[in-house]
Amino acid sequence: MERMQQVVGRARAAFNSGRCRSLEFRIQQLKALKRMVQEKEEEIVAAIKADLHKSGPSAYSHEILYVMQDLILTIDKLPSWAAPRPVKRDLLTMRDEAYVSPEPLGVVLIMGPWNYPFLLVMHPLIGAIAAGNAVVMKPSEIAENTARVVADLLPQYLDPELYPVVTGGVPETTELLKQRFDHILYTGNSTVGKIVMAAAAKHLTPVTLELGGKSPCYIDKDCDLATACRRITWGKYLNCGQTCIAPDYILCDPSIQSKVVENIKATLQVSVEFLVQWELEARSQISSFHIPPLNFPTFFELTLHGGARPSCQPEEVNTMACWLRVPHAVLLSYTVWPLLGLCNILFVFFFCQLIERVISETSSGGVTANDVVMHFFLSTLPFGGVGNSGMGAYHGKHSFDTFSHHRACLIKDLKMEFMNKLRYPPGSQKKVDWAKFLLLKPFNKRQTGLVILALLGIVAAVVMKVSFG
Amino acid sequence: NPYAGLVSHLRAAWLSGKTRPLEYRVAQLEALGRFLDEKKQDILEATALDMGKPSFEAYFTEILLCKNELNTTLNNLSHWMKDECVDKNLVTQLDSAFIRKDPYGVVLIIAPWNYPIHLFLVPLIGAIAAGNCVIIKPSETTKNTERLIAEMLSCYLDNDCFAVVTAGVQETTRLLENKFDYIFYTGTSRSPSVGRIIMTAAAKHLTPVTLELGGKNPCYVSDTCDVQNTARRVAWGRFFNAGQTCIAPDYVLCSLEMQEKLMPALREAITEFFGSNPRESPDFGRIVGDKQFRRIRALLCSGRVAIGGQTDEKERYIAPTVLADVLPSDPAMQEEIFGPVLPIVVVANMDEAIDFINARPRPLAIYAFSCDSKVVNQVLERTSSGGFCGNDTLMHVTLTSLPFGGIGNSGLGKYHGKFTFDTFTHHRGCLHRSMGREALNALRYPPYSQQKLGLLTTTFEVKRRGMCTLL
Repeated sequence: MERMQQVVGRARAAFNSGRCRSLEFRIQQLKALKRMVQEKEEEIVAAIKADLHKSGPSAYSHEILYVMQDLILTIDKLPSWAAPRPVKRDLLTMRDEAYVSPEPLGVVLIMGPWNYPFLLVMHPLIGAIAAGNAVVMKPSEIAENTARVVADLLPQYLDPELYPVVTGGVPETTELLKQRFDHILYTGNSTVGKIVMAAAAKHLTPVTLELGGKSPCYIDKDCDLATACRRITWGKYLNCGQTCIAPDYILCDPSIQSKVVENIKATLQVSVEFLVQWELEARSQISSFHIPPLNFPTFFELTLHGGARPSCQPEEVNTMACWLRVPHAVLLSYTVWPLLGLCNILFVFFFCQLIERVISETSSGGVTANDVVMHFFLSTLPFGGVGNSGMGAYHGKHSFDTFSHHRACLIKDLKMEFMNKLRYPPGSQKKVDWAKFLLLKPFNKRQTGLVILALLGIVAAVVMKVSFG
Repeated sequence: NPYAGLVSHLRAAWLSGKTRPLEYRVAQLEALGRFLDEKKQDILEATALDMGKPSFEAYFTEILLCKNELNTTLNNLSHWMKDECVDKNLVTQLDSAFIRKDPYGVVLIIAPWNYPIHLFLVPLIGAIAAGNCVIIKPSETTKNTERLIAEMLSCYLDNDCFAVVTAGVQETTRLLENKFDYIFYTGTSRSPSVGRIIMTAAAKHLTPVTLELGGKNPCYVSDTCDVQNTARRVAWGRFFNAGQTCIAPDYVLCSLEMQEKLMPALREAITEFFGSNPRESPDFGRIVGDKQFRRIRALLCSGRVAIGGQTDEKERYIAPTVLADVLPSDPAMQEEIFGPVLPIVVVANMDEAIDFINARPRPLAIYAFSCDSKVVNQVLERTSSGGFCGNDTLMHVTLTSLPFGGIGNSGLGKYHGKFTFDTFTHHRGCLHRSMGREALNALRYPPYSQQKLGLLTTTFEVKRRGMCTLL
């Protein structure tokens, strides 16, 4: 297990050498990553297909498309994201330089899940590289083909010391977590999330945990059911239900329940043969460990007809098609609070006119109204959970900010010492009064007020020089 | 668990939605302002009793800086609370996309003893502003201030939503067994184990944390600088609150020549501030407790005592002290000093100083003094720390627009000004789509095809600026 220590040690030495700090280097690495995705698209798609039985267009649109989008955005925006950000100054610091400087954290660990095995390691990697860090990647061993492809391809395009890929199962991951990192981003379930955070606590390492939850979907009875159900069906069965932000269950008025079922059936029927075959094959890939115990009431069951394979039992088909019984590794155990109370859930979806009320009276990682899943694709929205569904957020600039240290910088003049006399001992009431005047901002200050204050500040400085100088 | 009842009481209050409206938050914040105004004298007296805090310092840090934060928050709260609209892509062009600022819920603030009012009040301001319910755990070391907070705060704040818990180590451990939605801890790095204990307890409930710890903050003084001004600013930063400041310059790095020049300048600054006998100055503080006093006194056998060095155990007085020729192996260089003792470590040049700094855990602050701005920038760029101040000490934390926080062993997270509000806020990504325009969605529905994929790529893709985006 010294291998882990060596890998991380090498990454840290490479980081300390300073070569990943320059913008040119970071952009060069990101462009290399982009070339990798373009040139090796077939290999990557084949690996995803082998792991999850996804078709070409599925694998591309679910995983590769979004990685490309994020790479292009990051390469374009990096110079502006990485630039020092000047801040508002007060009277005491008016002549000084004050800004926030985004800096790399150091060596970052990214642990990916198996449900979108390529997307969910690449996406954080982009932000981590952009922020100037060294990155240790640990793709999920369950999606073993994708893990192998990532481990093979990355060293061919990126600096292998700065961005090593570690493969392995639980023992290797446990050993990896004993090392010191400067940030850990974990995507997976909350049980392991707690283990990751406890390991991080030993080194005071900040974490971003992208966990899961039972994402509820509320359908108001006065909405266009056909459209709502079509969108829900798409989001639910995307990737065979193995999506952390898939609508997990529906909440609706009893009067529309049967219509909802009808609509979902109708949507599924459009490609039911395709779906059943897909689900059955995919299911066989997943180990039994991941199928959750069924300890919650089912709202309704959905029976599929047609397209079942001769080898599977009728109960299996029904089980597969039951709304709440699609195998979902992320759902091991959650605390689910009543919807109109507050829920620690990853996402809330709803189809209704009472949107503002649902948003204000619930709590969740994110929200999509009148659709499902789509907020994931808008990189300007922070993507992350709250409570049991996780902490921290990323996507787009939020990734860059997550993997950066925002260092406060104040550069003062060594001259103008008389300004400082105010704060030096011995103390006096006069000094206290001046301090109050200079520091306390008046309520509802406006632009013109600031100019007047600035002028007064200069006058005050001159007067102080005369009286204390 | 003795605190389970209190926590669930606060959680029920939060679930009722009481803390959400702007008016409620403003009312509570204004009440905090009244607390500072009406109890100013009690605060000054309590801090004087607890650690001999000079009243000017107490007024500056415990009252003035807190009011500054309060006013910044009150001035801007309605703006901070608003939904933040975000840029959209082609697919979401006609939708509404925004970040909603949600409170976390029930948060815990644990404060230390060195600035006992400031270091619970400033986080509290942000927590209230963000709409949370709060449990405050002030330090048990500063008994008078602890009692003041426990007895008087409840007269100003809504007791359904805000509570003060007085607790020692054992009780705090029990308190941490409860589930909170955020934990904010300020403590010193001399016991980084406490930060780890807090984060480990938080991990059991997946509770996000901010840890404001500390470190040995290096202060590099280059050969080209205004010696008198530098000495004054460094001495002020070091001896403020008798050295018990997490961002105080912990040690000086400079050349042998500069050490010779600094010594008389430091002596002069100390005399200017505290007179010829600092023990009699009302402007110089005392060490908070006997244990801390003995710990700092033991560090005095490092290098040689060039200025000060006198101590009085009864008063817990340690004179403003400067140690010269200190070696990296000396006791004073093994831990955060947190006292009025300034070691000077001699280095050959700036590069050696930077290497010295980088070989050690990343501190909360780094200071660099030079008339040459290139030198200051070099130190800034080639090191890493929570914050940085060039040509002065401590001042970067008085600017509420700068984030205040550590990195690595010196902490995680940041606050002050809007950053406090953001710390206690969950930024929730929201996308509000239309039920119409369903034809546009057909691209993403199965059955999939290469043609659909092509069109989808075009609508989703972000193109490099300057490239043609026509279909």
